[in-house]
Amino acid sequence: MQKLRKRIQRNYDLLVDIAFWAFMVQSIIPWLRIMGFTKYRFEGPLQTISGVGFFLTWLLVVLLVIARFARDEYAEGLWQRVGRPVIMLLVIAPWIACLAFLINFERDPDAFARWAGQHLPDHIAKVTERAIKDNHPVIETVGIASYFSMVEVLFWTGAYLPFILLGLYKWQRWRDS
Amino acid sequence: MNNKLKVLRAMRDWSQADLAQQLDVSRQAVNAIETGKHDPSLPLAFRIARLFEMKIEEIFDDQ
Repeated sequence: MQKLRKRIQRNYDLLVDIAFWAFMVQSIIPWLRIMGFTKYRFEGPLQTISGVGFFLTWLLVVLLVIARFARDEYAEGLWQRVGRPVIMLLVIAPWIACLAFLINFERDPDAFARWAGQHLPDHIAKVTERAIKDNHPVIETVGIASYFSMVEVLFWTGAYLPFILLGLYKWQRWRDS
Repeated sequence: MNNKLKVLRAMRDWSQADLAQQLDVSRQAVNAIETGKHDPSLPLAFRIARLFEMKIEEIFDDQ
């Protein structure tokens, strides 16, 4: 067990590189589409493979972040240096993002309906409908646009934060080399 | 912190990977210590000193 742990520690950076490039390769098509360079999207089996691949990569990254035993002291020190700016980012960025969403929705009242139509899967739409009928306290207090702005920001933060951490880790490592 | 790790390693004709293996750390850790980007923990400093059969203060210098 000790030998395995040492081997993982010595190859920790290789695992980080594998996870990073796997994420980059899987993200090319979706980001090109979001930026408007292509309309291509994965469908059918490709969509399934892409989704499973993203989840496995995400899982690997989460394990790399939380598995203290897999790191030697230098890698652990790197993560602590990464942690400081990320903590600041986590405190500030979601509120800025929410504000950006809200300003957009307030300026263009139809924007929320268009966004909701594109982004809200059926079960979320049903929850919303039920929440409105049952006088959901959070939605009533902050409004539907605010509520789903926060949901959207939290979702994307949760999905992509591990990869942001990875990128910052690699950058710190590059600075040291 | 300044150190003589690179010199000591070169005297024994070891690569960074060789030294890393002997110290049970990654090659990147050895590189970071040699370039002064990372100060080793006390246990690691002791391991380095024992490996080179020298005192810690003969290898590392905080001046």
